[in-house]
Amino acid sequence: MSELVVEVNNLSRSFGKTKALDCVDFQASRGKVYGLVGANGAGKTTLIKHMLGLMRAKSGTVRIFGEDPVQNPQGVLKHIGYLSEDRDIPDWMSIDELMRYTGAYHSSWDQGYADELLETFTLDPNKKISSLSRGMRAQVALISAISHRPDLLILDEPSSGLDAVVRKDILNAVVRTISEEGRTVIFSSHLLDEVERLSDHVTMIHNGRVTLDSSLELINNSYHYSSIRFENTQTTAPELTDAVIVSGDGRFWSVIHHGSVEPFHDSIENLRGEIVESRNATLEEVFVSRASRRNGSHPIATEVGK
Amino acid sequence: MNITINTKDGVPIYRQIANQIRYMVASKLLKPGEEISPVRTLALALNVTPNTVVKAYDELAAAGVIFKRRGAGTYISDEQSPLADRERQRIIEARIDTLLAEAHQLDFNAEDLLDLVRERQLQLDAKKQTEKTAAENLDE
Amino acid sequence: MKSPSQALAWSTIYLSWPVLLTQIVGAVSIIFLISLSLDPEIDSTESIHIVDFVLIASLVFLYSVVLSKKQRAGNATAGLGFPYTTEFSLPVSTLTLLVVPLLCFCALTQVAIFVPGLIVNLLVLDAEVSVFPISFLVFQYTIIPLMLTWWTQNGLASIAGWLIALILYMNGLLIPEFTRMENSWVLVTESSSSYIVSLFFTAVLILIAYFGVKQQRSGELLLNFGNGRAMLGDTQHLRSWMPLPTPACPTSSAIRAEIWKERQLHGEYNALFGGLAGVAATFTILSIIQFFVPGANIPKFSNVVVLAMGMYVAVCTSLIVTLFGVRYKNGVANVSVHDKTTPLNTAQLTLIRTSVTLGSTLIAGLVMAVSIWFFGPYFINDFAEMRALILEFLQTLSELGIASVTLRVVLILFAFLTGLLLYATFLTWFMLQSKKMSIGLLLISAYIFLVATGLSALFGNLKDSYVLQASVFQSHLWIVIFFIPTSIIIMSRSLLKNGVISAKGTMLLAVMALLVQVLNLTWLFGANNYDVLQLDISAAHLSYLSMQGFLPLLAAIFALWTSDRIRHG
Repeated sequence: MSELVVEVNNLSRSFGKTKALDCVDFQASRGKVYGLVGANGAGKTTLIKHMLGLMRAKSGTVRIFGEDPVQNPQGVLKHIGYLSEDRDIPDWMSIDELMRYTGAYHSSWDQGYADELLETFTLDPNKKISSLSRGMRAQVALISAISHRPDLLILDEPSSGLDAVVRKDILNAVVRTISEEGRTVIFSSHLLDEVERLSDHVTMIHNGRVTLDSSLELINNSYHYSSIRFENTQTTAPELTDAVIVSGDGRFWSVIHHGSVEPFHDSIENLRGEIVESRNATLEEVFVSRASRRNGSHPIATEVGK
Repeated sequence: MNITINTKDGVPIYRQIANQIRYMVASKLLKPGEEISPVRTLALALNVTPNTVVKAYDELAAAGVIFKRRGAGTYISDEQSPLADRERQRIIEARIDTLLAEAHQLDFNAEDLLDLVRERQLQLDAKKQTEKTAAENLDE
Repeated sequence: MKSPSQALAWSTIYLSWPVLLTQIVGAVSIIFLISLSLDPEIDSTESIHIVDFVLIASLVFLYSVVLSKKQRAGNATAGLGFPYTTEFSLPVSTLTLLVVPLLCFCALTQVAIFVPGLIVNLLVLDAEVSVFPISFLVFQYTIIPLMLTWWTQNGLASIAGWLIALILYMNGLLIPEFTRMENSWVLVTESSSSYIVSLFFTAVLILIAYFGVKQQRSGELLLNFGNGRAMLGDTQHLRSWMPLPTPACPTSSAIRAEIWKERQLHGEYNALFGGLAGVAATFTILSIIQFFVPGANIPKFSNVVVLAMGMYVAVCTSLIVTLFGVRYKNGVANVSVHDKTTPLNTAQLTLIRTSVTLGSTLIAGLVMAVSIWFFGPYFINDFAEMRALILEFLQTLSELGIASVTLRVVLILFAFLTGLLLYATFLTWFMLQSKKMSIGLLLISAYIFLVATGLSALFGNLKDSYVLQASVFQSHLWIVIFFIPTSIIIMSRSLLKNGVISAKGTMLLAVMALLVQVLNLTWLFGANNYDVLQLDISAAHLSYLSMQGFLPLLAAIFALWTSDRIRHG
């Protein structure tokens, strides 16, 4: 059996004039956690819908567990647990009824596990879904997605719009699922804190294109933040080797840079500057720098406090 | 184990975990032979993916700080003394590096720094002494 | 529930059975009520037609409520298309998703026609019934509109589909041609092959729907009319389907802006579309109506009018159902917060909404009348005769004199609008408080049922007990007579207390109410009328006719009270 759970090749999709996805490649191996990062409207949900067979790949291919999800929805979807962005669950059912209803679709449904989760979240099974708060709704939707212990869990913005307490609970439930053997998780989020906590691998999508696709470890090791003090005032953004984004004014500048450190340090010395502070870049800094970046490698300067 | 994670300063999570465990060993908060939380428990407690905890533990195991007993949990290594010493030194050295960098920024040289350190230590000792005598007076 | 099929069946029936129960009990009760108040001399042919009408009307009611997509629909779905979109991401085959609900709905409509029909037949009519043809008819009339609604989300494609279906229908390919035996429910068809032809086309429709649903599942359009935007987001309203010219929103006052908004949502275009849809429906069902009256002696006029009225009621229902802003979201009825916090006071808001919507119903009625007048000859054989009758009727009216005619027209208009407003308010409460309302309705219907069966048990045949029926009916009438002013007073006090209407507003309402009442009494006691009314009319009946002049006031107050309750809880 192939180790690749998800294989998306050269996928493109347009809606009218808007290009939602542009030549996207994406692969997910069994047992890992994949974070899809991008601004709202970047294309994450469109990509996810293709994986579920809710959109047919018009240009490019999508294979889940080696199969086309559009050709064989029943076979593919029984291995998938899906949490939709808008928590599309019927309001007219009670929580208990939803559990029984969803359970009828999955032979691997574990009601005991579902009950355990309901208790953890202190949800009353007799309550109607329409009477639930936003957070509780997300919790119920999550439970109905993971109770059949799916091989592949796809979560679209699992914590968006939720308060810190509920978010923590949901993250915890997801962590618990991850720790079960062989489960693959793909989740999209614009909350980088949770992406950093959960992901083995991060894919950034911006305007339908993949702007970054690597393991979290690699990102951590190769992106750095440096704070620089120059001898002289710089009237324009200093040109530094391997810099992704430069910001600041006068003599003090901050840089996010990528790659080996030597050439970068050399370019600073050439401009008569010295590094005040240097550390790994946070995921947020990497994301912002990649998202603001235009095509090509020229860094963009944002000048602050003129 | 009391470990905190933050995603604000760019240090990879697994390294934060490993560093904190190292610190606890070095400062005798964790004793040799003591059992530490299994991967899953720690992952749930910290709300991070278990893979990260695995990585932290692997690094610590490779450095000899912890070891896994097959099928029966993870423990702090017994042979800690040389490691502990090295670890303590490593931690202090990191602190000193930061101090030196700041000092340089604020225009202190190493000489001034050492004088200041001695001065502050004397003040600290004096303060401790007065507190001690005050407590003794109270007891009488 | 062990399998997707069971789950789907459960969910369909769960949502439908209360409505089904209401429909059955309601249909039976209404038929009993009518037969209670009718003259026993009435021709039995008429009574079977009344039963037909009530049964068909109740079926239409059931169909439109239960099969309404909005009951299940999620947040962002188009007005058309397959409703079970949430299940697309569950491991179930598209075939199961299509077939299981379909079969459930077919079973539902079969129950909906046969249970009340057989009850009524047993207790009142005792006519002969040919079960299979009726069953087949109901089956076809359930599947065909269902498939035509489900197969695509694209408005234009859907209309094309309905047109093609209409053509097939006119050629007798979709429904077998039946002839009806007089005074019974026995239907005979010339050849059994017409069943097979109908089934064939139905199978084709199901196949098309299957591919349509498959395409919807994978985010495609079966036929691309260039309206790709039908796939994304909300397109519940007419103006998104069709490229109609729309004026810009006026910014000079809140009231004008609100009127503009109401007109966009429920205004002229909706009326036009609704009217045309009503006409189309009338004409297509006309063929069935043709065999209600086997002989040529009785003109078809009354039947056409009755059918057109029925369709008009359906059109009006669709226009007024959102009068108070109630919509279904994820299967639950509520009013959006946006509506509730519109910066206009309740009285103004209600007035604007009511005027626009009721205006639309009048426009729709006009559209229907005019269309039938001009297109009638193509669909109805003896249309010339019908036209002649209508003109004759108008002639006799004009002889009554301008004042008299105007009075009648005004009163009929008021009666109509009042009835609609009360109907809208009632429907709104039904949607918002469906459990309580259903229970209430069931209790009332059960009561009527018990009275009717009680009487028939005592007297053997309902028709023989006319005198007793009449007094039973009258005593209940007094309840209604006292109910009207009492409820007006109670609700008005609530409105005044909550400041919904000002002193000035109260004055205005009181004046208008008095005006209407004066008109009503003028009509009632006017010189021409006293001999039209039977001289031995009961006190109850007379009191009721006098009191009904206050019904418009009741409707207005009830509407305001409802608005207030919706906005402020």
